[in-house]
Amino acid sequence: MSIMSYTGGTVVAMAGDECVCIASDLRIGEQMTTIATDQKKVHKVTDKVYVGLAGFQSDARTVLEKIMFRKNLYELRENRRIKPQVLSEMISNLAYQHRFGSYFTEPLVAGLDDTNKPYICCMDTIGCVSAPRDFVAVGTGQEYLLGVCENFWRENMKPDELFEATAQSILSCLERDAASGWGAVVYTITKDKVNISTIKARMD
Amino acid sequence: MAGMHFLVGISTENYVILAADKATFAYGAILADSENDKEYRLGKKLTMMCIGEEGDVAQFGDWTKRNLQLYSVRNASAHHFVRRSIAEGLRSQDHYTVDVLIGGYDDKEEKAFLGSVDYLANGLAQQPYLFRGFCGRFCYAIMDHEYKKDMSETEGLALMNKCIGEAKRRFVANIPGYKVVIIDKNGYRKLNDVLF
Repeated sequence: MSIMSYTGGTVVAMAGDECVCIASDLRIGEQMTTIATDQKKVHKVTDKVYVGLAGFQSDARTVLEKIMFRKNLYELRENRRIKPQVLSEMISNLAYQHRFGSYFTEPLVAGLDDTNKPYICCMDTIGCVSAPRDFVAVGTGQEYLLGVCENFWRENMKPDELFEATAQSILSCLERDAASGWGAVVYTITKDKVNISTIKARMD
Repeated sequence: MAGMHFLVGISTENYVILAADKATFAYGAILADSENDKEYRLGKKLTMMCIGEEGDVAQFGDWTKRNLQLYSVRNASAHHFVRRSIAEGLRSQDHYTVDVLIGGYDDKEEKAFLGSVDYLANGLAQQPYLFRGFCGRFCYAIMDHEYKKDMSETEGLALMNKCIGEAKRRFVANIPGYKVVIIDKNGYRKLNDVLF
């Protein structure tokens, strides 16, 4: 039994033309028993910046609370909204502070910065940031997602195409990953709005 | 960590039913006590049931009860407080090995609340039904099939009896009885114990 797959869960994010899509499954379990089927792993940090936390859900919740605390302090001091790049640096520092005795969660940041340029990144449990330009995935279904996203992703996708690509990718992942499932929630973030869709997958 | 004990929580919009077994087990094979109260009242319409390491349950339950009664917090805040307390102790010497169920009724929102926190600080809030302990594994599927979100208190209690009955039939340990409470807009009520 690995602590990273105790509660299960997967998060994926893709970048398009002035838009990003971030999606997660809805299952929380205790190893093989499913306990809840309505727990998303994506959370809003600001209107244009979202964070996803896969891995052990207790630590994911603790890290989320610390992120919100630090983001609120940042906004009070700086009197402006936080950018996704800055948020990911902040989370990376938080994780590395616990280098020996880390939080068992892999954060993922997706958002648009001030110029509406898309930014996505993922981290390991001790905060090593990798920010590619196409897609990122974390969680128990990570390997399945990387393969299928490679297939669906293209340059400069518009919001509708990006939503389709992300939704289809996470659906494929839920088909195969036993520790994730019970539907998916997809957030499509553009410069004017955020579209939230809950999609039905194989409910197990 | 699935314990020998059993906690049941069933909620709808209007009420929440909580049940806890009344047993204390010792040395793996002895029923030391059949009148053990696992409940800790956190407020007028908020209560918590705890299982786990015996000493930790008593310490944690008592400490949480005193703190939350002092501040008269609301349901979701109480759940958050309990989760944080366990999370902060998780990586230290004095960690609490307790699994809890929290149930309550919020007068302002006119909604019942059911949440749980396990010994690793995994918190789940606002769920229709939750179980803690090994016997819970028998009951999730029963509830998936029979639960209705508009069922009456009588139907909810009948379902609870079904879950407890299943635990009696299939679990290896003999649990002598259960304490049952219900919280709704009229307040907190302790119902008759389920005894065998």
